[in-house]
Amino acid sequence: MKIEYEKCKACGLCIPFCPVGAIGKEGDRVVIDQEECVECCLCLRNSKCPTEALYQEALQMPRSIRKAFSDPLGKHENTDLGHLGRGTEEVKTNDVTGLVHGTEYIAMAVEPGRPLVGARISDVEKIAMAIAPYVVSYDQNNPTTKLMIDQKKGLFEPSIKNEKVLSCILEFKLAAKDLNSVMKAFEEVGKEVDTVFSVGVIAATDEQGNCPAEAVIRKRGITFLETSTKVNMGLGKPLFTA
Amino acid sequence: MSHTLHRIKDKQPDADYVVLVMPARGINNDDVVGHYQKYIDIFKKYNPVNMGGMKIGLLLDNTPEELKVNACDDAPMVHAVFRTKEDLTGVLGEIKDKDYGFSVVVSGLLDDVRDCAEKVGLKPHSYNFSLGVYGALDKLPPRPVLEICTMCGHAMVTPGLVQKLAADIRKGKTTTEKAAEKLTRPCMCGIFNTAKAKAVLERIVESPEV
Repeated sequence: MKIEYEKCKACGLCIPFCPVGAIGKEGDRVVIDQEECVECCLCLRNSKCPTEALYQEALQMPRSIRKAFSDPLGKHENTDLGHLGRGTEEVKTNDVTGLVHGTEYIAMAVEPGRPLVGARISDVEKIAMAIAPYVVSYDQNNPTTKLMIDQKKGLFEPSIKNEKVLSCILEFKLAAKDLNSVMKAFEEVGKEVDTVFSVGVIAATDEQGNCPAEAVIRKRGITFLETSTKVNMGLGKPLFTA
Repeated sequence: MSHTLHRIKDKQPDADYVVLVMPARGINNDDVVGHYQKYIDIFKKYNPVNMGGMKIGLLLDNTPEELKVNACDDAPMVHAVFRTKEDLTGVLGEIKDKDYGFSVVVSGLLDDVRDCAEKVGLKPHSYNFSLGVYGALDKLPPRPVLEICTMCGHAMVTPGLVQKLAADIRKGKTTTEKAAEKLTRPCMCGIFNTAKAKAVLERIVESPEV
Protein backbone atom coordinates (compact mmCIF):
# COMPACT_ATOMS: atom_id res chain seq x y z
CA MET A 1 0.00 0.00 0.00
CA LYS A 2 1.20 3.49 -0.80
CA ILE A 3 0.26 7.03 0.21
CA GLU A 4 -0.16 9.88 -2.26
CA TYR A 5 1.43 12.66 -0.25
CA GLU A 6 -0.09 15.50 -2.30
CA LYS A 7 -3.46 14.35 -0.92
CA CYS A 8 -2.59 13.04 2.57
CA LYS A 9 -3.58 15.34 5.46
CA ALA A 10 -1.85 13.10 8.03
CA CYS A 11 -5.10 12.62 9.97
CA GLY A 12 -4.02 9.08 10.95
CA LEU A 13 -7.47 7.51 10.46
CA CYS A 14 -5.81 4.61 8.61
CA ILE A 15 -3.32 3.74 11.38
CA PRO A 16 -5.51 1.52 13.63
CA PHE A 17 -6.73 -0.49 10.63
CA CYS A 18 -3.32 -2.00 9.91
CA PRO A 19 -3.23 -5.56 11.32
CA VAL A 20 0.58 -5.67 11.44
CA GLY A 21 1.35 -2.15 12.67
CA ALA A 22 3.00 -1.11 9.40
CA ILE A 23 1.35 2.34 9.34
CA GLY A 24 2.57 5.00 11.72
CA LYS A 25 3.52 8.65 12.08
CA GLU A 26 6.97 10.05 11.49
CA GLY A 27 6.91 13.67 12.54
CA ASP A 28 3.88 15.19 10.84
CA ARG A 29 3.70 12.53 8.10
CA VAL A 30 1.87 9.22 7.99
CA VAL A 31 4.18 6.54 6.61
CA ILE A 32 3.79 2.90 5.59
CA ASP A 33 6.72 0.57 6.27
CA GLN A 34 6.91 -1.32 2.98
CA GLU A 35 8.92 -4.16 4.54
CA GLU A 36 6.11 -4.83 7.01
CA CYS A 37 3.04 -4.06 4.87
CA VAL A 38 1.29 -7.29 3.82
CA GLU A 39 -0.85 -5.64 1.10
CA CYS A 40 -4.11 -6.77 2.73
CA CYS A 41 -6.00 -3.60 1.64
CA LEU A 42 -7.73 -3.36 5.03
CA CYS A 43 -6.72 0.31 5.42
CA LEU A 44 -7.82 1.15 1.88
CA ARG A 45 -11.24 -0.50 2.26
CA ASN A 46 -12.14 0.47 5.79
CA SER A 47 -10.45 3.64 7.01
CA LYS A 48 -12.58 5.92 4.84
CA CYS A 49 -9.58 8.11 4.03
CA PRO A 50 -11.17 11.57 3.64
CA THR A 51 -8.80 12.56 0.82
CA GLU A 52 -8.47 9.14 -0.87
CA ALA A 53 -4.72 9.29 -0.42
CA LEU A 54 -4.21 5.53 -0.09
CA TYR A 55 -3.62 3.50 -3.22
CA GLN A 56 -2.26 0.12 -4.22
CA GLU A 57 0.04 -0.27 -7.21
CA ALA A 58 -0.20 -3.28 -9.52
CA LEU A 59 1.98 -5.80 -7.71
CA GLN A 60 4.54 -8.03 -9.40
CA MET A 61 6.15 -11.23 -8.16
CA PRO A 62 7.39 -11.76 -5.55
CA ARG A 63 5.53 -8.94 -3.76
CA SER A 64 2.19 -10.06 -5.24
CA ILE A 65 2.39 -13.06 -2.89
CA ARG A 66 1.64 -10.69 -0.01
CA LYS A 67 -1.71 -9.65 -1.45
CA ALA A 68 -2.68 -13.14 -2.58
CA PHE A 69 -2.39 -14.47 0.96
CA SER A 70 -3.33 -11.41 3.01
CA ASP A 71 -6.25 -9.80 1.18
CA PRO A 72 -9.40 -11.95 1.45
CA LEU A 73 -10.26 -10.75 -2.06
CA GLY A 74 -6.75 -11.38 -3.41
CA LYS A 75 -6.56 -14.18 -5.95
CA HIS A 76 -3.60 -16.53 -6.21
CA GLU A 77 -2.74 -15.42 -9.72
CA ASN A 78 0.94 -16.28 -9.18
CA THR A 79 0.07 -19.99 -9.14
CA ASP A 80 -2.05 -22.16 -11.41
CA LEU A 81 -4.76 -22.27 -8.70
CA GLY A 82 -5.96 -18.72 -9.21
CA HIS A 83 -8.58 -18.95 -6.47
CA LEU A 84 -9.46 -16.85 -3.43
CA GLY A 85 -8.47 -17.80 0.08
CA ARG A 86 -5.48 -19.05 2.02
CA GLY A 87 -6.45 -22.72 2.17
CA THR A 88 -8.86 -25.28 0.77
CA GLU A 89 -12.33 -26.58 1.53
CA GLU A 90 -10.69 -28.94 4.10
CA VAL A 91 -13.16 -30.07 6.80
CA LYS A 92 -15.87 -27.78 5.45
CA THR A 93 -16.88 -30.24 2.74
CA ASN A 94 -15.10 -33.33 4.03
CA ASP A 95 -18.38 -35.25 4.25
CA VAL A 96 -18.63 -34.99 0.44
CA THR A 97 -14.97 -34.96 -0.67
CA GLY A 98 -13.66 -37.55 1.78
CA LEU A 99 -10.37 -35.66 1.89
CA VAL A 100 -9.81 -37.12 5.35
CA HIS A 101 -11.47 -40.46 5.98
CA GLY A 102 -10.80 -43.49 8.13
CA THR A 103 -8.78 -43.18 11.32
CA GLU A 104 -5.30 -44.24 10.17
CA TYR A 105 -4.54 -40.81 8.72
CA ILE A 106 -5.40 -37.30 9.82
CA ALA A 107 -4.77 -33.89 8.29
CA MET A 108 -3.21 -30.82 9.83
CA ALA A 109 -3.58 -27.16 8.95
CA VAL A 110 -0.73 -25.14 10.40
CA GLU A 111 -1.08 -21.41 9.88
CA PRO A 112 2.06 -19.30 10.32
CA GLY A 113 1.26 -15.67 11.13
CA ARG A 114 -2.13 -16.39 12.69
CA PRO A 115 -3.39 -14.77 14.81
CA LEU A 116 -2.64 -11.15 13.93
CA VAL A 117 1.14 -11.25 13.66
CA GLY A 118 1.98 -12.08 10.06
CA ALA A 119 4.86 -14.27 8.90
CA ARG A 120 7.75 -14.19 6.47
CA ILE A 121 8.07 -17.13 4.11
CA SER A 122 11.48 -17.84 5.68
CA ASP A 123 9.70 -18.70 8.94
CA VAL A 124 7.08 -20.74 7.07
CA GLU A 125 9.98 -22.73 5.63
CA LYS A 126 11.47 -23.35 9.09
CA ILE A 127 8.17 -24.86 10.22
CA ALA A 128 7.82 -26.93 7.03
CA MET A 129 11.35 -28.28 7.45
CA ALA A 130 10.68 -29.21 11.08
CA ILE A 131 7.62 -31.29 10.19
CA ALA A 132 9.02 -32.78 6.97
CA PRO A 133 9.75 -36.21 8.51
CA TYR A 134 6.04 -36.65 9.33
CA VAL A 135 4.33 -35.27 6.22
CA VAL A 136 2.79 -38.00 4.06
CA SER A 137 1.55 -35.53 1.44
CA TYR A 138 0.70 -31.85 1.08
CA ASP A 139 -2.69 -30.76 -0.24
CA GLN A 140 -2.07 -29.90 -3.88
CA ASN A 141 -4.98 -27.43 -4.00
CA ASN A 142 -3.42 -25.29 -1.28
CA PRO A 143 -1.60 -22.14 -2.48
CA THR A 144 1.22 -22.50 0.06
CA THR A 145 1.98 -25.95 -1.33
CA LYS A 146 2.30 -24.37 -4.77
CA LEU A 147 5.11 -22.11 -3.53
CA MET A 148 7.27 -25.02 -2.36
CA ILE A 149 10.14 -26.18 -4.52
CA ASP A 150 10.76 -29.35 -2.52
CA GLN A 151 7.77 -30.68 -0.61
CA LYS A 152 9.71 -33.58 0.91
CA LYS A 153 12.19 -31.22 2.54
CA GLY A 154 9.78 -28.32 3.08
CA LEU A 155 11.78 -25.85 0.96
CA PHE A 156 10.53 -22.68 -0.70
CA GLU A 157 11.77 -20.68 -3.68
CA PRO A 158 14.64 -18.47 -2.35
CA SER A 159 13.39 -15.30 -4.05
CA ILE A 160 10.17 -15.25 -2.00
CA LYS A 161 11.59 -15.93 1.46
CA ASN A 162 11.57 -12.30 2.60
CA GLU A 163 7.94 -11.77 1.60
CA LYS A 164 5.57 -11.23 4.52
CA VAL A 165 1.98 -12.46 4.57
CA LEU A 166 -0.78 -12.02 7.13
CA SER A 167 -0.95 -15.81 7.26
CA CYS A 168 -0.70 -18.85 5.03
CA ILE A 169 -1.48 -22.50 5.63
CA LEU A 170 0.65 -25.63 5.54
CA GLU A 171 -2.00 -28.27 4.90
CA PHE A 172 -0.88 -31.88 4.94
CA LYS A 173 -1.78 -35.46 5.71
CA LEU A 174 0.08 -37.55 8.27
CA ALA A 175 -0.27 -40.87 10.05
CA ALA A 176 -2.43 -40.50 13.18
CA LYS A 177 0.26 -42.29 15.19
CA ASP A 178 2.68 -39.41 14.47
CA LEU A 179 0.50 -36.70 16.01
CA ASN A 180 2.45 -36.50 19.27
CA SER A 181 5.79 -36.42 17.45
CA VAL A 182 4.73 -33.60 15.18
CA MET A 183 3.40 -31.63 18.16
CA LYS A 184 6.85 -31.90 19.76
CA ALA A 185 8.35 -30.62 16.51
CA PHE A 186 6.04 -27.58 16.73
CA GLU A 187 7.18 -26.87 20.27
CA GLU A 188 10.83 -26.95 19.18
CA VAL A 189 10.51 -24.90 16.00
CA GLY A 190 8.30 -22.45 17.91
CA LYS A 191 11.45 -21.32 19.72
CA GLU A 192 13.19 -20.51 16.42
CA VAL A 193 10.61 -18.48 14.51
CA ASP A 194 9.89 -14.77 14.73
CA THR A 195 6.15 -15.28 14.48
CA VAL A 196 3.27 -17.32 15.87
CA PHE A 197 1.44 -20.19 14.24
CA SER A 198 -1.97 -21.72 14.91
CA VAL A 199 -2.36 -25.47 14.69
CA GLY A 200 -5.46 -27.43 13.70
CA VAL A 201 -6.14 -31.14 13.26
CA ILE A 202 -8.75 -32.52 10.87
CA ALA A 203 -9.95 -36.01 11.73
CA ALA A 204 -12.85 -38.20 10.71
CA THR A 205 -15.06 -40.27 12.98
CA ASP A 206 -15.27 -44.06 12.83
CA GLU A 207 -18.44 -46.07 12.19
CA GLN A 208 -19.44 -45.75 15.85
CA GLY A 209 -19.04 -41.97 15.71
CA ASN A 210 -15.84 -41.96 17.77
CA CYS A 211 -12.81 -39.87 16.85
CA PRO A 212 -9.59 -41.53 18.10
CA ALA A 213 -7.51 -38.41 17.39
CA GLU A 214 -9.59 -36.49 19.93
CA ALA A 215 -8.43 -38.76 22.75
CA VAL A 216 -4.78 -38.21 21.77
CA ILE A 217 -5.31 -34.44 21.79
CA ARG A 218 -7.09 -34.51 25.16
CA LYS A 219 -4.12 -36.42 26.63
CA ARG A 220 -2.03 -33.37 25.80
CA GLY A 221 -4.20 -31.35 28.19
CA ILE A 222 -6.30 -29.65 25.54
CA THR A 223 -9.87 -29.35 26.88
CA PHE A 224 -11.56 -27.70 23.88
CA LEU A 225 -12.81 -24.98 26.24
CA GLU A 226 -10.29 -22.30 25.20
CA THR A 227 -11.02 -22.15 21.47
CA SER A 228 -13.67 -23.13 18.98
CA THR A 229 -13.87 -26.52 17.25
CA LYS A 230 -15.37 -26.99 13.79
CA VAL A 231 -17.80 -29.87 13.50
CA ASN A 232 -18.87 -31.23 10.09
CA MET A 233 -22.42 -32.47 10.56
CA GLY A 234 -22.39 -35.01 7.74
CA LEU A 235 -25.28 -33.38 5.88
CA GLY A 236 -23.58 -33.00 2.49
CA LYS A 237 -24.86 -35.02 -0.46
CA PRO A 238 -23.66 -37.30 -1.90
CA LEU A 239 -22.03 -38.46 1.32
CA PHE A 240 -18.51 -39.79 0.73
CA THR A 241 -18.12 -43.49 1.37
CA ALA A 242 -14.67 -45.07 1.52
CA MET B 1 -9.07 -21.71 5.14
CA SER B 2 -10.08 -22.47 8.71
CA HIS B 3 -11.53 -19.04 9.16
CA THR B 4 -14.03 -19.92 11.91
CA LEU B 5 -11.51 -22.06 13.84
CA HIS B 6 -9.27 -20.75 16.63
CA ARG B 7 -11.89 -18.31 18.02
CA ILE B 8 -10.65 -17.55 21.53
CA LYS B 9 -13.29 -18.37 24.14
CA ASP B 10 -13.72 -16.86 27.57
CA LYS B 11 -16.33 -18.66 29.60
CA GLN B 12 -19.48 -20.75 29.50
CA PRO B 13 -22.05 -20.01 28.27
CA ASP B 14 -20.02 -18.80 25.35
CA ALA B 15 -22.93 -17.60 23.22
CA ASP B 16 -21.06 -17.76 19.92
CA TYR B 17 -21.92 -20.39 17.34
CA VAL B 18 -21.17 -20.07 13.63
CA VAL B 19 -23.03 -22.18 11.08
CA LEU B 20 -21.31 -22.47 7.70
CA VAL B 21 -22.93 -23.89 4.58
CA MET B 22 -20.82 -24.77 1.56
CA PRO B 23 -21.03 -26.77 -1.66
CA ALA B 24 -18.13 -29.03 -2.65
CA ARG B 25 -16.84 -27.41 -5.84
CA GLY B 26 -17.04 -29.74 -8.79
CA ILE B 27 -19.19 -32.27 -6.94
CA ASN B 28 -22.47 -30.83 -5.70
CA ASN B 29 -22.32 -27.15 -6.62
CA ASP B 30 -25.49 -27.09 -8.71
CA ASP B 31 -27.83 -24.13 -8.24
CA VAL B 32 -25.56 -22.51 -5.66
CA VAL B 33 -27.58 -19.28 -5.56
CA GLY B 34 -30.89 -21.07 -5.05
CA HIS B 35 -29.41 -23.16 -2.28
CA TYR B 36 -27.87 -20.18 -0.48
CA GLN B 37 -31.24 -18.44 -0.59
CA LYS B 38 -32.96 -21.45 0.97
CA TYR B 39 -30.42 -21.69 3.77
CA ILE B 40 -30.72 -17.93 4.46
CA ASP B 41 -34.49 -18.45 4.78
CA ILE B 42 -33.80 -21.01 7.51
CA PHE B 43 -31.14 -18.92 9.29
CA LYS B 44 -33.32 -15.83 9.56
CA LYS B 45 -35.88 -17.63 11.76
CA TYR B 46 -33.40 -18.29 14.57
CA ASN B 47 -32.27 -14.81 15.66
CA PRO B 48 -28.90 -14.59 13.91
CA VAL B 49 -26.64 -11.80 15.16
CA ASN B 50 -24.79 -11.84 11.86
CA MET B 51 -25.31 -13.54 8.54
CA GLY B 52 -23.96 -13.41 5.00
CA GLY B 53 -20.65 -14.09 3.34
CA MET B 54 -17.91 -12.84 1.09
CA LYS B 55 -19.46 -11.18 -1.99
CA ILE B 56 -22.91 -11.41 -0.34
CA GLY B 57 -22.70 -8.84 2.45
CA LEU B 58 -23.45 -8.64 6.16
CA LEU B 59 -26.70 -8.64 8.10
CA LEU B 60 -25.55 -5.39 9.70
CA ASP B 61 -26.00 -3.57 6.39
CA ASN B 62 -28.57 -5.77 4.64
CA THR B 63 -31.93 -7.37 5.36
CA PRO B 64 -32.14 -11.15 4.90
CA GLU B 65 -34.05 -10.49 1.67
CA GLU B 66 -31.23 -8.26 0.40
CA LEU B 67 -28.68 -10.95 1.29
CA LYS B 68 -30.71 -13.41 -0.79
CA VAL B 69 -30.61 -11.00 -3.74
CA ASN B 70 -26.86 -10.57 -3.29
CA ALA B 71 -26.20 -14.33 -3.27
CA CYS B 72 -23.99 -15.26 -6.20
CA ASP B 73 -22.29 -18.29 -7.74
CA ASP B 74 -18.78 -17.23 -6.86
CA ALA B 75 -19.52 -16.67 -3.16
CA PRO B 76 -17.68 -19.63 -1.64
CA MET B 77 -20.10 -20.15 1.26
CA VAL B 78 -22.78 -18.59 3.43
CA HIS B 79 -22.70 -18.21 7.24
CA ALA B 80 -24.86 -17.23 10.18
CA VAL B 81 -23.91 -16.55 13.80
CA PHE B 82 -26.16 -17.50 16.72
CA ARG B 83 -26.14 -16.60 20.40
CA THR B 84 -27.90 -19.50 22.13
CA LYS B 85 -27.83 -23.28 22.10
CA GLU B 86 -31.60 -23.20 21.61
CA ASP B 87 -31.27 -21.24 18.37
CA LEU B 88 -28.41 -23.46 17.20
CA THR B 89 -30.47 -26.57 17.94
CA GLY B 90 -33.42 -25.10 16.07
CA VAL B 91 -31.45 -24.19 12.99
CA LEU B 92 -29.69 -27.57 12.86
CA GLY B 93 -32.98 -29.40 13.23
CA GLU B 94 -34.57 -27.50 10.36
CA ILE B 95 -31.51 -27.88 8.12
CA LYS B 96 -31.56 -31.62 8.79
CA ASP B 97 -35.28 -31.85 8.00
CA LYS B 98 -35.02 -29.82 4.77
CA ASP B 99 -31.98 -31.87 3.66
CA TYR B 100 -30.88 -29.53 0.86
CA GLY B 101 -27.54 -31.35 0.56
CA PHE B 102 -24.75 -28.79 1.04
CA SER B 103 -22.14 -29.45 3.73
CA VAL B 104 -22.90 -27.89 7.12
CA VAL B 105 -20.20 -27.10 9.65
CA VAL B 106 -20.73 -25.61 13.11
CA SER B 107 -17.99 -23.73 14.92
CA GLY B 108 -18.27 -23.38 18.69
CA LEU B 109 -17.32 -24.97 21.99
CA LEU B 110 -17.14 -28.68 21.25
CA ASP B 111 -19.40 -29.92 24.05
CA ASP B 112 -22.07 -27.34 23.23
CA VAL B 113 -22.09 -28.21 19.54
CA ARG B 114 -22.28 -31.92 20.30
CA ASP B 115 -25.22 -31.36 22.68
CA CYS B 116 -27.16 -29.48 20.03
CA ALA B 117 -26.36 -32.02 17.30
CA GLU B 118 -27.41 -34.92 19.50
CA LYS B 119 -30.75 -33.28 20.32
CA VAL B 120 -31.73 -33.31 16.65
CA GLY B 121 -30.23 -36.71 15.89
CA LEU B 122 -27.14 -35.58 13.99
CA LYS B 123 -23.95 -37.65 14.13
CA PRO B 124 -20.82 -35.60 13.34
CA HIS B 125 -18.83 -36.78 10.35
CA SER B 126 -15.48 -35.13 11.07
CA TYR B 127 -13.82 -32.52 13.23
CA ASN B 128 -11.36 -29.67 12.90
CA PHE B 129 -9.78 -29.30 16.35
CA SER B 130 -7.81 -26.24 17.41
CA LEU B 131 -4.57 -27.19 19.16
CA GLY B 132 -3.59 -23.66 20.07
CA VAL B 133 -0.92 -21.15 19.16
CA TYR B 134 2.85 -21.79 19.11
CA GLY B 135 5.89 -19.61 18.61
CA ALA B 136 6.57 -16.05 19.75
CA LEU B 137 3.51 -15.69 21.96
CA ASP B 138 4.83 -12.42 23.40
CA LYS B 139 3.79 -10.81 20.10
CA LEU B 140 0.09 -11.43 20.80
CA PRO B 141 -2.25 -8.74 22.14
CA PRO B 142 -4.03 -9.19 25.53
CA ARG B 143 -6.54 -12.05 25.71
CA PRO B 144 -9.76 -9.94 25.68
CA VAL B 145 -8.52 -8.21 22.53
CA LEU B 146 -7.83 -11.64 21.03
CA GLU B 147 -11.37 -12.72 21.92
CA ILE B 148 -12.65 -10.00 19.62
CA CYS B 149 -10.05 -10.11 16.87
CA THR B 150 -10.03 -13.91 16.40
CA MET B 151 -13.70 -13.75 15.43
CA CYS B 152 -12.36 -12.78 11.99
CA GLY B 153 -10.15 -15.61 10.78
CA HIS B 154 -8.73 -13.40 8.03
CA ALA B 155 -7.37 -11.00 10.72
CA MET B 156 -9.35 -8.06 9.33
CA VAL B 157 -10.35 -6.92 12.84
CA THR B 158 -7.20 -5.40 14.26
CA PRO B 159 -5.95 -4.98 17.84
CA GLY B 160 -5.24 -1.33 17.03
CA LEU B 161 -8.87 -0.69 16.12
CA VAL B 162 -10.16 -2.49 19.25
CA GLN B 163 -7.85 -0.45 21.46
CA LYS B 164 -8.71 2.84 19.75
CA LEU B 165 -12.44 2.19 20.07
CA ALA B 166 -12.03 1.17 23.72
CA ALA B 167 -10.24 4.48 24.33
CA ASP B 168 -13.03 6.34 22.49
CA ILE B 169 -15.65 4.63 24.68
CA ARG B 170 -13.77 5.61 27.83
CA LYS B 171 -13.68 9.23 26.63
CA GLY B 172 -17.41 9.16 25.83
CA LYS B 173 -16.79 9.66 22.08
CA THR B 174 -18.70 6.50 21.14
CA THR B 175 -20.75 3.68 22.68
CA THR B 176 -19.97 -0.02 23.01
CA GLU B 177 -22.82 -0.72 20.59
CA LYS B 178 -21.51 1.61 17.88
CA ALA B 179 -17.96 0.38 18.44
CA ALA B 180 -19.05 -3.25 18.07
CA GLU B 181 -20.75 -2.38 14.78
CA LYS B 182 -17.60 -0.63 13.55
CA LEU B 183 -15.59 -3.76 14.37
CA THR B 184 -18.08 -5.96 12.47
CA ARG B 185 -17.72 -4.36 9.04
CA PRO B 186 -14.11 -5.28 8.14
CA CYS B 187 -14.95 -9.00 8.54
CA MET B 188 -16.49 -9.60 5.12
CA CYS B 189 -17.43 -13.25 5.72
CA GLY B 190 -20.30 -12.42 8.07
CA ILE B 191 -18.89 -14.53 10.90
CA PHE B 192 -18.14 -11.71 13.35
CA ASN B 193 -20.36 -11.82 16.43
CA THR B 194 -21.39 -8.21 17.05
CA ALA B 195 -23.19 -8.99 20.31
CA LYS B 196 -20.19 -10.83 21.74
CA ALA B 197 -17.89 -7.98 20.68
CA LYS B 198 -20.09 -5.53 22.59
CA ALA B 199 -19.93 -7.68 25.72
CA VAL B 200 -16.14 -8.05 25.53
CA LEU B 201 -15.70 -4.31 24.87
CA GLU B 202 -17.62 -3.63 28.07
CA ARG B 203 -15.08 -5.77 29.94
CA ILE B 204 -12.15 -4.10 28.19
CA VAL B 205 -13.20 -0.54 29.03
CA GLU B 206 -13.48 -1.54 32.70
CA SER B 207 -9.96 -2.96 32.59
CA PRO B 208 -7.27 -0.25 32.69
CA GLU B 209 -4.44 -2.57 31.64
CA VAL B 210 -5.97 -3.41 28.22
